[in-house]
Amino acid sequence: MLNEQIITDYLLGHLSEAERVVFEQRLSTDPVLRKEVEELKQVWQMLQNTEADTDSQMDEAFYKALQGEKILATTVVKLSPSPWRQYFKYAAAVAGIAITFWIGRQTAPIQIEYRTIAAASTPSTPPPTHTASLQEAESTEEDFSNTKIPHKKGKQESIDQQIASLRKEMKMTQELVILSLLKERSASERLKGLNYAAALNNPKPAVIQALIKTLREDESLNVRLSTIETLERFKQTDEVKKVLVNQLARADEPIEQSTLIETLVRMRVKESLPVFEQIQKDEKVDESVRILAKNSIGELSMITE
Amino acid sequence: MTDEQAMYAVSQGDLDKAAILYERYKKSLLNFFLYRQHDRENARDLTQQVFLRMLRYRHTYREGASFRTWVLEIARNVFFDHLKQNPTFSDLTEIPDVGDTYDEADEQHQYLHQALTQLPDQYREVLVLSRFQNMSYEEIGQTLGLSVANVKVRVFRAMQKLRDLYFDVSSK
Repeated sequence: MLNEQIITDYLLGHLSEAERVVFEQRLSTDPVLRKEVEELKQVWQMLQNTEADTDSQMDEAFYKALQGEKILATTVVKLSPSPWRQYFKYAAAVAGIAITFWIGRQTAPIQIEYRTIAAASTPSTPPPTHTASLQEAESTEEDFSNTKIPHKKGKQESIDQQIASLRKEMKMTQELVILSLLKERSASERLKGLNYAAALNNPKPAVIQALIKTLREDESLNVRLSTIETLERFKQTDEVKKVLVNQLARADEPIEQSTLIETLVRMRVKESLPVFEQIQKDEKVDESVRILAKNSIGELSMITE
Repeated sequence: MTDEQAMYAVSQGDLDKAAILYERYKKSLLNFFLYRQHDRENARDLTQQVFLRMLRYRHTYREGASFRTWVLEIARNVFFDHLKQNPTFSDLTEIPDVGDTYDEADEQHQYLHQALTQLPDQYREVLVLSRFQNMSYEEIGQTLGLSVANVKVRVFRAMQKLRDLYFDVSSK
């Protein structure tokens, strides 16, 4: 081993007892080496002695922040009950198949959908030779039926019910897939989940809560940005507005801050004004974000209810 | 309870365990920042940011990963972000004048910090890491992308350089 490495081991206390004794013997016979090591030892010790201690102000700030984080965490836990989690992977597998089926149904021409159901309910009817309409299917049905109009209406209602329940089921599985994707480790999978979520019309509260959780906790900036966009598409409840304002107060990436400011202005959330003002004054914040905050204060203040 | 067990508990929602990690690491982190710049107020603020990020990104901690290297990575990122946000800031900040009240220890302290600010970055970094929670050579090597032998040689040269700078500054 080189001299340099042994001296480092000696100074940092990484030599074994036997090695240390041998090295100290060497030091006693080599005055040049001894002088070198003593000087280095002196500097190393000084370095250790100059270390600063923490103070109560620092402790106070940390425990306050911890308390705040605990309150936030409790809210999130209450909103997303954990028993769901264990079923996500199974639900995702089932939902994968179901989604394929659903997409097929959505993309197929509507006439085919009716014909299929009508044919299923009248197995002895020969298949129509041209694009069948609902009326045709119904009139065929009429021939086989003695209870004409009431029966026709009953059938129609039952078909409508079947379609409605199918759609409901599809929506549920879609929501399960989204919830499951948002928990994936890979950021691209989570982005996929957000894309699916963006296609929903009126998502269940659980989906919104999962999006809120993603916005607060996701480590990937891209995922957080996409979550902001998705949340903006849905019904803009007070809770969503509040979450976006809080997120702006916490965010430290300039892109995230700008996106949030722009979104809050589009959503006309006046409650965000104090945070905008805070950002505008904060010298640690990126210059472009501060200018945007300043302009947005003007824009938002001008909006009248 | 090891650091890793505490951090895993935090990542699973037991936030009270974060206090254990705070108590164990607050001094190391404060000094980690003080080695790089001398403003105590700044160092305190940056230390605070490390713990806030630790809490906020707790879900990204993977069970079994070394907490020391994980938190160090956060600290380095916090410091780089700080430099990015303060482009005029230089870690060669002037040493504040301590006035008439300083004693010999203060003087020594001042010289050492002056020497530290003049130390090339690569040397300062390796010294800071060797002082950070007694990190092993392997961990330092992992962080800096060096072999264990190279870490030892660099620590030695950093100390030599620091000594030369110290004697140079104090003899002026």
